[in-house]
Amino acid sequence: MEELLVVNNLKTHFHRYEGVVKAVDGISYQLHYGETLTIVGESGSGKTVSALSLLGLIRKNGRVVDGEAIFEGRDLLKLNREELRQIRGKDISMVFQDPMTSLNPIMKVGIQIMEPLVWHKLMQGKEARERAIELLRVVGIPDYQVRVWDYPFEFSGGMRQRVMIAMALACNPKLIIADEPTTALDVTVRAQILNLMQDMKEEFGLSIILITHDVALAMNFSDSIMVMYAGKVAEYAPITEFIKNPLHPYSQGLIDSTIDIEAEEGSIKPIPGAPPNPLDLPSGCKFHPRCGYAQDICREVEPESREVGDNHRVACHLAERGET
Amino acid sequence: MVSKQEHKRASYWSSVWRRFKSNKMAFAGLIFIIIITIVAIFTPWIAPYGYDETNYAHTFEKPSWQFIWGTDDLGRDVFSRNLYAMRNALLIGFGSQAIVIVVGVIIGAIAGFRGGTVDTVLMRIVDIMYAFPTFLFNVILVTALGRGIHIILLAIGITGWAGTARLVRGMVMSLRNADFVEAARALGAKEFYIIRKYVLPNMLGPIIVSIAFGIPNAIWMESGLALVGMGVRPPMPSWGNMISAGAGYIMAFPHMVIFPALLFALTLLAFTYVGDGLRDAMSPKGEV
Repeated sequence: MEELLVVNNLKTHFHRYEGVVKAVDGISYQLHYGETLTIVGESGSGKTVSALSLLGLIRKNGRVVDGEAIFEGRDLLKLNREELRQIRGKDISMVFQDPMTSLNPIMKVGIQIMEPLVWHKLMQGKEARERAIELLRVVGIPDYQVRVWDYPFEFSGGMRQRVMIAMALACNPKLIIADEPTTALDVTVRAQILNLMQDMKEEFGLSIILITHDVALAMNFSDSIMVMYAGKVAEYAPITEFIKNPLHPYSQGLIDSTIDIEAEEGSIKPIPGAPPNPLDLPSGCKFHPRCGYAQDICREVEPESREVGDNHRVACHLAERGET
Repeated sequence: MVSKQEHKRASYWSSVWRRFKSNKMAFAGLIFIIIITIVAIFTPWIAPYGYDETNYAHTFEKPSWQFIWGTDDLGRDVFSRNLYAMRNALLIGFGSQAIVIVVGVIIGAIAGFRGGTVDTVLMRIVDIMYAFPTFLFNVILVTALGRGIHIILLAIGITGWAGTARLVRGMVMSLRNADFVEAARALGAKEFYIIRKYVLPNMLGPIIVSIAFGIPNAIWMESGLALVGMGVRPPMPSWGNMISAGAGYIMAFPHMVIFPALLFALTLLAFTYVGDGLRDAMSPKGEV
């Protein structure tokens, strides 16, 4: 399969008064056409920043300091602002976390769906209006011909997320980055939105980068998974391999801490401790203070990411020796 | 299926209007303001006498058919002078707010969008404006520049924009990084388009409300200036100078004070109710 996006050694740092926050510190991954990659991690592990870096949407105090992101032969990190703007929404779109606040409250949803088409000079006027109506039908809004001229406040959360997806789909992008698209939604609506995204992926031949902290969701939804911890990749694997054989202790911790409907009471094992302070990271392996298997080497030497199987990379001293 | 014509859904502004209408006091206030505005525009044709038309045969007259609100110490018609005073009050109110909005929005928007040093410098200027006693500043400006009505509205405008600048800056700063602005940026919107279609329209509500409250404040300020002899220069009437002139005769000839005071109070009340009504209508709490 051909690669749509290859990210190598991406580093995004934020300069703060107290020091430098290495939000993303050297991550690498590949995304093939039509594939879904899930980025999993706790809050503050750098999942969202790694995605925003690709589109040049980092706030002023942050900067991409190193790395490359080859999207269809072009390095996104070297494009100027206008070139990036032309890619945003057209080739790469985003779906955001909170549908309640991600739509302009005083603009009709139909107009908002039309906007990316107009911005990228793909369609105008009547054609764009028809496209907006068609998109609302595709994302499953009942009464779409009428609802297209409603305002966001007349929609429920799940409906708004459908509208956001319609906006993201408007220009037929090749890649959609979905930043925790279901976090703000009810559990019942979550499944609907995920199914919708799965359908869209098949219908439009999209690739998806799904950012979430829900490992169970990742295992159901994606082709490969990247587990991030403190700005680094802990484990990167095809999903089948990950389910069979999660090697990093953090990955195992994430899986153990999910709720299985058949699990016995008391079998959920939360990961002890909390993510480290990004301004004061521990020495050696960033995960060692919370790791049950930590040894002397973990406290002193930072593990390199090593290939342990077909496309399966782990950054752990022990995994390499087959001890976990 | 419903056709587009049948489907008359509430737009944002039409739902604001619906909520505003349901507020009786605010609606009454608006009607009152519309009426006095029309009257003010056509005052020279409506007023039975000129504002400086003296008639020494008819000084201190009580209301009668000839002078419906009576006459003052120089025999001028109180009713006509009230109409002119209303015209001046509205001119000062709207005019000074126009200056406040133009200056305040420009300064606030620049500070909010540019941030950094520009923001710091502009906001320190705003702080200085804020710290300076407004009334005193007005007295100084009017003393220096003269007591013409345009000078007064200019002075009130110049001293009043600081609050608006702060309001606008705050809104720009929060809207600039609002989720829906980020979302638009992520889908390829140009910065200028974001400012025009996303940031500015979302600020309109609070700005309108601030105008509605700013107008009575400006009228009030002129009256304050008039009381210390710094208001509109007589014989041009303003409610302030009519009330302060009439106050000397209040026991003997109360009609010289009562009518301007009543009209003045009603006007301020109307603007305040409209401002309240607009604020409530534009921030619908508890309505989905």
